[in-house]
Amino acid sequence: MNNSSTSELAKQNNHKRFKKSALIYIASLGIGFLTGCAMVLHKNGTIHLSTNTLIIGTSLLTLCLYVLTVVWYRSMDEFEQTSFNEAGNIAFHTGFLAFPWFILNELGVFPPLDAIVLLFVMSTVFVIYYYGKKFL
Amino acid sequence: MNNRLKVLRAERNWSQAELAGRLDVSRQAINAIETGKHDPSLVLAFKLAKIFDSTIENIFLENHDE
Repeated sequence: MNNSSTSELAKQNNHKRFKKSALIYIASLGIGFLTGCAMVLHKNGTIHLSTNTLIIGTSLLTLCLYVLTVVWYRSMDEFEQTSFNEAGNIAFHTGFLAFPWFILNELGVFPPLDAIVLLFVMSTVFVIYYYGKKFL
Repeated sequence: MNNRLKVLRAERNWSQAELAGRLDVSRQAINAIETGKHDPSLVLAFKLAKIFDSTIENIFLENHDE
């Protein structure tokens, strides 16, 4: 095996991996940014989106996020996939917080269950575990 | 699992990024294997053995403490 050509191959592979990851991150951030802008402009009354547009837009957004997650997962190496699986498992179990939250709300101690707050907590746990395991 | 990856890499003067590129995995994956944070799959273990022109048994050492 030629050493210099393999080194060139290593550089190419690293560059390819970096490019793919960067594209996925940029696409995700882009979708988030556009959705945020559309929501703010709609709420401000700057733009008027019909109910149909909102339903179609939200469905497309959900589909894009699913596809991006699959593309992201398939572009990972086995270490990243293991970290992803473990992070997903822990994040899923964080969702069990919904049960005590629901009971505490019934008892009048907590405010009503907020799905977005719960999703945010689960996502935060996922991100901390995944990137913590990968980079620390 | 203990392994000789760091030694084998140093013998060839390869950085973690260089080895990662040759195996088409992330640099973090190589670091995780070297530090024992991640046990590679059999497929990756065979790839490592091939790239170092060695055997799996020569690279990975059974840890009797586990």
